[in-house]
Amino acid sequence: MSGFKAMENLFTNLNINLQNTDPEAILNLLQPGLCHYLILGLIIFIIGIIIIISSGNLIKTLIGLQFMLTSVCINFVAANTFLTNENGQRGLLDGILNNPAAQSAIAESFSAQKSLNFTFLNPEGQAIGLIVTVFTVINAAAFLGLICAIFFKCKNIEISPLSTLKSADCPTDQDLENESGL
Amino acid sequence: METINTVIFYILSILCVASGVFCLFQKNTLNAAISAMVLFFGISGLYFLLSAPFLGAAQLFLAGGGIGVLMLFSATLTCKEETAKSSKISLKTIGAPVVGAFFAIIIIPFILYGFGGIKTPITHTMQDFAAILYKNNALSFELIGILLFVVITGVCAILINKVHKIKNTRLIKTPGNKDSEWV
Repeated sequence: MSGFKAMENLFTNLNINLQNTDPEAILNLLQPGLCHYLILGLIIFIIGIIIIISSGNLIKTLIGLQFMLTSVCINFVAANTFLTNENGQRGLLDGILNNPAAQSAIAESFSAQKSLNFTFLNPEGQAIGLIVTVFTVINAAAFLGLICAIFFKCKNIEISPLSTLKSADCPTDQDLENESGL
Repeated sequence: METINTVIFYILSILCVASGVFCLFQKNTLNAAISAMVLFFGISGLYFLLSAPFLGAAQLFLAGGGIGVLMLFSATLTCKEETAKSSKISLKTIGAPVVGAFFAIIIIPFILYGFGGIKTPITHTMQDFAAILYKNNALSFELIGILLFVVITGVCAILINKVHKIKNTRLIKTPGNKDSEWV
């Protein structure tokens, strides 16, 4: 729900800043936040869907699927970085197994060394993102193995001829002519 | 520091969206696979901005290296003469200056502000990351490992069957026939 509230705040701030025409406020809107990463993920997701719908090639369909899974990953990691959980800790979910006292000590030691303000981040969303990334690789490996098997059998990876398969045999030119005649 | 993060974020975002759009309108499968690799590299850069260095490195060598190379290999293995033709407009004369300008835009903030400007103020230790992976998400981690094993075994089984079929055929020349045929 915090993501939706962040989106609402973005649009309300946008209205206020446009009315005031304050350049600093407008520049603050350009600072990359959760909304920017979510919009980027949305754009990549839509591009992936359009590639899947419009591609006549199995490999391009796989590329569209990879785009969609990558956008899911970026959304998880962005939400993990910018949202805070109920304990006031940055992270996607509650840090049940993490010691808040140890985390604050680590953050203070980092701050002392680097002269910067560090806050501790619970990398739960990053772990989920890593699992999704590995699943993307698995998906690609399986898909590409099937593509190679289909190519060895049918010498073709175009989607429209393969959709006319009625049995285990590959469509012949006569089958394609009959289909186009209908 | 925030200025550099903003600039790098917009550069990487434009790179990702541009490579995605280029992949969408590309008819050549090989060029589409290469533009997909560029998008994966851009996404890994965004992970580094989001204080996820391990995930960024994993995205680089899994998606950019693994998936990209697999897709390139499959595209070259399954390409036909019709799909192998590139677009009519040659981008060689435009590509080099564009890439050079892009590299200059990226490198100038580093020269002006130094490499110290891209540190993000939020952090976590690898110990915590490993603890979350192996304690909170142990079941999904093990399931993904089993799935990976099953997929690799299945793909090997499918392709080994094809290799056996190719090995068992012989190329012979029948008398009175100009061309040889598989038996």
